[in-house]
Amino acid sequence: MTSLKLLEGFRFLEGQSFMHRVDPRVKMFLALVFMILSLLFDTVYPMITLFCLTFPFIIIAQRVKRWFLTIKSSIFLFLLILTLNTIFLSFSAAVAMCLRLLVLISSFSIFFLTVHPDDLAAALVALKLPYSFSFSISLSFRYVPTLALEVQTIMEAQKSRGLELEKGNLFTRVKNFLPIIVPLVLLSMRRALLVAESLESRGFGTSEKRNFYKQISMSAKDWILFSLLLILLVGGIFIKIMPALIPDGFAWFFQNWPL
Amino acid sequence: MIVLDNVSFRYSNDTAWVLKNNSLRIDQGEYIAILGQNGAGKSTLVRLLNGLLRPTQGNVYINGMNTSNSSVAELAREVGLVFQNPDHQLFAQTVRDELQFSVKTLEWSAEKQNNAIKETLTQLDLTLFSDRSPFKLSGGEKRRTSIGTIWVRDPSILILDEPTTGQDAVQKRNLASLLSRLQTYGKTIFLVTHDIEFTIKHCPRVIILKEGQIIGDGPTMKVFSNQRIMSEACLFPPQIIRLIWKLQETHPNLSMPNNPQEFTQSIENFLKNQ
Amino acid sequence: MSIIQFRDVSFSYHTGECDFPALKNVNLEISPGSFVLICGATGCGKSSLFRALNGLVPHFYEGQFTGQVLVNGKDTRQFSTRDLSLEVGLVFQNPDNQLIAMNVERELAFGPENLGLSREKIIAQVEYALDVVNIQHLRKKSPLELSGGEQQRVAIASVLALNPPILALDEPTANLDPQRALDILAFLSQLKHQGKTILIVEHRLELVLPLVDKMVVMQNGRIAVEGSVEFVLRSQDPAIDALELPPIVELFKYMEKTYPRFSDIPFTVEKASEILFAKKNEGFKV
Repeated sequence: MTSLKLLEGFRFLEGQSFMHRVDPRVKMFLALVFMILSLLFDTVYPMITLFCLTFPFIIIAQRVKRWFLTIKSSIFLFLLILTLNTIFLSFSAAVAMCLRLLVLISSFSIFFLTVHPDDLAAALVALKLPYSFSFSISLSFRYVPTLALEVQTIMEAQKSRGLELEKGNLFTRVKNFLPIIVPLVLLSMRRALLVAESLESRGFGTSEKRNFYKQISMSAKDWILFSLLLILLVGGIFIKIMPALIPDGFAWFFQNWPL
Repeated sequence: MIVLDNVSFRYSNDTAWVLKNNSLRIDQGEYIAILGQNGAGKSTLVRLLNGLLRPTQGNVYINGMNTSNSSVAELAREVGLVFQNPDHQLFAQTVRDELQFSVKTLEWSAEKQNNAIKETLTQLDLTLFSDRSPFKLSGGEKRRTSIGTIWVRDPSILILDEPTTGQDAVQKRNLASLLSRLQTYGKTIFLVTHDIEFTIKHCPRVIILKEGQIIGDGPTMKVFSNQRIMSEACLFPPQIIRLIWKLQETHPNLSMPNNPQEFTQSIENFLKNQ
Repeated sequence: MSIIQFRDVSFSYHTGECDFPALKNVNLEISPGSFVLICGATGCGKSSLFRALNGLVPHFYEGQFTGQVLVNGKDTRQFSTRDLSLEVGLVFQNPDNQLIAMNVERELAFGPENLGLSREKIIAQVEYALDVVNIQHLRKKSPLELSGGEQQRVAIASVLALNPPILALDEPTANLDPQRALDILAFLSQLKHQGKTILIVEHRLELVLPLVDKMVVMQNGRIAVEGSVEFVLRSQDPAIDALELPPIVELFKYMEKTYPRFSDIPFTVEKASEILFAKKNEGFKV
């Protein structure tokens, strides 16, 4: 169950918030900007700043609970990073590293929580990627729960024949997965054929230009958000490559703790 | 013997009850069907019987064993659950390997295993296919194989989930004769189904489930001719019962046949008696 | 004038090692606006017949195809499945393999989008389908939140969004309980009265027979019997044995054999009781 909770913060949920209405391309850009910035810096205060900048978006999207579930179930990962980095680097670097992970999770969580998988497809098409590519991405999103259900049924069916998945040494355990994997692969192959048939029957794959039911278009708000993010990105890069730009008395902000 | 003692079930504290306060007793050797709309709790009930799920409240006893204190592996020796779609479990190279896989966890002697496999192949008419790949069998043969993978383990209770779904009349007839043959070995046969016509023909007892509660339990003709139960469960009474009702509107002396075999005779009596 | 014509159609699947014959010399005429039941044992060729309607056979499935299928005047060999999707909407047994979008309205938009319609037209078609199938309230739902019956309704709506005159459904109610199955069947009958031609594969004859205009029984890739329900039920063809006849039909077939002057084969409770009352009143003699 923990593994499923981990994904809660990345699972789309229909909503009406401002963040839900932001153009998916801008949200993609947002995740990208925060990723680049968090990789650019490696000290505590810039990370805290970045986190303080991402967190409000989660609040606006009204998805703090979901986000928290993901953080909570990845606590082990955080502790691991903290310990390892404290041992091999320093406590200061370890904290920064944890914060970096927090920023990364948060920014991508904003993206996946508020971008409808079908909008993702539309966004990728708007970015000039071929439709078949973006369609296969949204199709995989769609079939994740179906596949999970199928795995569950297969496991139950095999358990009913006495299969014990948790028993034995590593080799037996791996071998025990064969009765799960074989039916799953066969069923998935058959399903693929049936899905293809249904797509074909509804005119999929014709060369004609495709119009979308939901059109994505950049509104004034989207452009403003985009510009702010762009300024943030450019500013961050400038500070990184030209430390001379940092005003006097602020150097401590970018330095490690003496720990 | 299966005993449900005031059993309730829900998946977690903040979800709704799937089953509410159900008590039930099924004796060894009964042939019984459970009906209800999709989502009435049938699959949950079945999973409580072989320990895939444990009751939230109350107790389930299988041949005296409390399922809350037993593992799925232990319970699976007593309760064999045949899933609806054979494709969810067939994976081996041959039908024989398929049966072999089912018995290898049972700590039986090699001789006992071999005998069980041989007998199952005969009893389920699978001898001809024993060295064939299960994936190359027809639908009906696949289903027999999947019943075989459970039967070979010699459980005292055999549960079949929706065994008639997607089957044509010939396949259904074959299934029916197979099941009544298996019942003669003293096994309890328990069907989860939507198939009212199959139930009325073959199962002497029926249980009706609605929104997690057993609202009908008794002899099949009696339960199916209970208008209140049937309409509450959104089930149509079988055609023959509806016809008798219709005739009874003007001829109240006409009695409901005790089983479908007497149906024709009831109609003949209706026509002859003035 | 027929809306669907099969002229001596044969088809064998190309399955690698050997060719598997699925349709053999099939001739069939369907008139527009009729409700047609196709039945027969598993593997009798029903599914291949359906796939031949919109060109999946022979375009999508490889094999040996002879004869001619005309759908609304279009020869399926000369038109792509895309073009034929405007004539025939195909609905399959398991909605899980047909619902590919994350919510209902996008599901309905999928077909119109593929055809490259204008955005206004796409929206209009989606609204049309939502209204016809009466699922406006489900428009924002994900297919995983829907019940089996609702899923099948959405699957039907998703092909109706292309507004084809013909709807072909391959065991659409197999996974549904009787009440929900009947709801779907009643809805299809309603569509027929709006002018659509309906072809359906359905095992539960008791539920479907009262709605049927024409019944086609297949066996081993051939059409064994076809005609009105009464005609087919009366037939002595062995293909009928593979059907699960409603108990009332079984009863009257027995009566016909046993007693003189029993010649009707009703299949509804109402009709059967009417006949029995009449027979009783006129004095039943053995």
